[in-house]
Amino acid sequence: MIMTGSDITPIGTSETMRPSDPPAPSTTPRVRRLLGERLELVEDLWQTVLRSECPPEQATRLLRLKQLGEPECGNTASTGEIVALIKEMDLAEAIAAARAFSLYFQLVNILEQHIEEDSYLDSLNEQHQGAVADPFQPPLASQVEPATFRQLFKRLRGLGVPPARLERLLHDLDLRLVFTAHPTEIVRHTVRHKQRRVAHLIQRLEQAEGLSLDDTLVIRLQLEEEIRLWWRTDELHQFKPTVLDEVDYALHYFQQVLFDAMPQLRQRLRAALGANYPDVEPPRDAFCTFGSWVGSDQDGNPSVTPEITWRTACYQRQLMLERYIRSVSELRDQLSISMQWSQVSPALLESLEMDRLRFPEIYESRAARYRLEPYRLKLSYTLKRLELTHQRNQQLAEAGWESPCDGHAGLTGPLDGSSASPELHFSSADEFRASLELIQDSLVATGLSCEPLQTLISQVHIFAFCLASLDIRQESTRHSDAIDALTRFLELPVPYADMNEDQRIDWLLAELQTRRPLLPPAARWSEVTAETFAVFRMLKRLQQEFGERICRTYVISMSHTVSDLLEVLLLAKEAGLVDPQSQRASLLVVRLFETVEDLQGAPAVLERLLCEPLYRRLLDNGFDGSQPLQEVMLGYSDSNKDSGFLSSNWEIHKAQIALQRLADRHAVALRIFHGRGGSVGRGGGPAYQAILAQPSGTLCGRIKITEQGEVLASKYALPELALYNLETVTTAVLQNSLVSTPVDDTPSWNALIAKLAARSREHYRALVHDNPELVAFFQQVTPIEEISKLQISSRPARRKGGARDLSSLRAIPWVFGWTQSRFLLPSWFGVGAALQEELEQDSGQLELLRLLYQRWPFFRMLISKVEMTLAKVDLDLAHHYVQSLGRTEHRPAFEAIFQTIAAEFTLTRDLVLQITGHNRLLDADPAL
Amino acid sequence: MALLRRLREQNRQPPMSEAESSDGDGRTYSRSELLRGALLTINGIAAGLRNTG
Repeated sequence: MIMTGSDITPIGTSETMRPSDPPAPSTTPRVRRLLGERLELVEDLWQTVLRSECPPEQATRLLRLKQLGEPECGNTASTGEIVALIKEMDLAEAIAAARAFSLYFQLVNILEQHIEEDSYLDSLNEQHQGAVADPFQPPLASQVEPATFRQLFKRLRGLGVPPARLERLLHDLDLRLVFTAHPTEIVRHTVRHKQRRVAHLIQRLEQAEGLSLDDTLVIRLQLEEEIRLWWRTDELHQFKPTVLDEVDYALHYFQQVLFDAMPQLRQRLRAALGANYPDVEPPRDAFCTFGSWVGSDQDGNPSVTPEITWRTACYQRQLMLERYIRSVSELRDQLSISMQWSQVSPALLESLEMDRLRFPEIYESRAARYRLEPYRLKLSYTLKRLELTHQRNQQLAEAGWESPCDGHAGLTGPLDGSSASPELHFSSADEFRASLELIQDSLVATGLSCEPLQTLISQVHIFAFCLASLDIRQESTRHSDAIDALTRFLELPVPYADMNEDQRIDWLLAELQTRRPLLPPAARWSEVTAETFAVFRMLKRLQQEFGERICRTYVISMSHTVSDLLEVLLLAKEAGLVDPQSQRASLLVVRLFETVEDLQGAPAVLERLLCEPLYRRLLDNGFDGSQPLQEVMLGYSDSNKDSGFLSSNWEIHKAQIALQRLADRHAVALRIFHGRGGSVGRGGGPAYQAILAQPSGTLCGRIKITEQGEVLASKYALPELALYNLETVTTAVLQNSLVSTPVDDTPSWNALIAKLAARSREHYRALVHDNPELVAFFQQVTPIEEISKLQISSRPARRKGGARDLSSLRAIPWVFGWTQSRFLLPSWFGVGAALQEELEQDSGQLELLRLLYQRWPFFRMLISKVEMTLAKVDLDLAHHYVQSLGRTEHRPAFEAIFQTIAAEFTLTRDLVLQITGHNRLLDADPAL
Repeated sequence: MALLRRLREQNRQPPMSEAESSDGDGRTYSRSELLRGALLTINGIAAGLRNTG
């Protein structure tokens, strides 16, 4: 591993540590000029629409409000005028004001996305022009600015990273992004569509150099029309979305952006690699793949049933097949190569003979036309097989998962209504890819190439027929309850619920090794128990029909013991997903560690599992034939809600190191699945910095991350933005895996952070969990109760039982409530007090904290996130919430809580500024 | 905030007060109107901040 940093010896590098912050974000003068122009345009259009859509006096007041809210007007007098204007408003006008400013800020957000895209494209162009590298750039271990492939590979080459080392890492590269879109997306799908249309029109205006004045005017009018339509569209969800609606929303990003972006990502990586490491073998096409929880996350969502998961899988496959059918049809038009003018490989000709026997009707209808055009003939057969697969998929969706599973029975008649046998469809994406590769090999052998064909092959590698792997998630008690019901039905001497942990483990291991089925087929179960058993049968059916890739991960939430995992394996065995004879499992059972106690206990639980010979054999026999792999999920949301920001992050950091050491000791590969939310209070924040901050030696080219709710639109709504995100996530993983910083192992630094984390947790819990008034405070001064009426998710806001305390409240509404009232408390509270106590004991520690900020990516990430969040806190507004919404009888207690929060805010802000050396929050990020 | 306050005051009234005035300025709003206003505001803040949970 290459090590950089001023306290270590870099290998083959002359880089020196620069004491100041890394360079500012690379917005070029051109991009800044464009931003100014676009802001002017958007503001003009917004005003035009308001003037024409609102009564004149109302429009004037709204525009005046906007003017008063601008930074240059930010004084007491303007605040007074704002308050007076708002007080004059009746409800209709107040609603108009809320909608007008919502529209304005969403338009500005679109511009921000464009700017990010432009900056990215400019940086790519600069690299192509061979811009000179900054000789004073910070060492890689300290670099926090996202790097492109070209920038990273160039620096790695400069650092002397051996090609073989990079090639090995690229070979193992495995990035998995898991969409869990439903709980946090507040913007209606309809409005998202309008945003995309506006974004598209703005993009067209930017290309105005090639447009006539008339054309420019037309686009401007279209923009105005689109914004007017948006203004007249209801922002609120009209109904509670179903799970399948949520599936549709999430898959939109694949259809619109990711299908095309992923092959481009591959091309950019290959081009950058070729320029810097020409002899290094590029990674496989599917180095970055996607997963989804939408339609398969059952935890706390009774609407996600086995049938819904089945239909989700069918829907995903339908989208893929339709896409492939279009692509193959276009390829058939394009590949008109005649045997008169070109050779064709014998393998392709041979396959055409096979196809002729299997599809005589295609041969009859196409042979005359394509007699001399073998590629078109081959693609006609391929097209037919795709259509048959599509037909079959439709029938499976309609028949449901419980239809007979011999592959054909239950599907009424021949698939295409003809005499064709059902086996003619593609039974796997590999078969389809093989057909395409046959064509590609023939083209290459005869000196031809075809980029669309290469793109299609890449897409098949990445998305296969399933589009995204579905992870199942379920709460652990569902499994133990089901097994308890089973043991009571079987009249075991000791029912499962009465067994202690050791007895449970012994019994579960014994049952896992017997070939005798445990589940009596004719038994009657409660509805909940029956569904728990049914999920596993559905999974088996899914894997039989779609292949194991469609669903091979089962995540257990609220899991605390070894038996939690063995329970799932036993239920899986009963459905045929674990074979006791071969001791192979086709399901990877993943524990989610989500509270601080769970995180602290994670290594011990995993150690116990890895020491069990049966479990170890299941891992060794690997479900995909690769090396033994243990996946572990770490939850940022609940640990943060439980113990506060600093403590949560530290426990996750520590757990990763401990788990990696354990995995190394047991010669098992470890994949950490990071359950990050969109906001800092749930592990969110810039992905690039977050990946760089992962402990050295824990990534090894492998990472799995959730992509949640509102981040989907900000990351994947526009093609270049998606590519930027995907490219920088990839470079961050490569960088972290190659460039080591030994500071993760510095005992004194770890001891300091451990102390800070413990103190921070005490302060956070003293307010959040021990203050008896806090629940009432949160319920009254944030819009938490109203949030639950927004109908943004099919999942209930509270866990089962519906208690009105904080323990049952999910982390998403917890953070949502604090964000709305501008406290953003979960993202920072407790940090200042912990730092202050440390400095009171030893003021000299401030220098050490500054050093940590400069040299330790983990600590830098923590402080940067706190700084970013503090900049969004608005205590005046927050106080207004307290005063306006706190009930009279609670006022004194609420005022005391507010003063505690305000004091902690001031302390945290001052200490963060001392550590960063900034004069104001976010000084290092002028773009913000 | 004013919308939330009015809405919550209305919610504490008996169900028959759907159209009851809850404001000192003499204006009357129904519970559903107030809820709609509050939800639109929450939605606007979240969409503008690009941050929900």
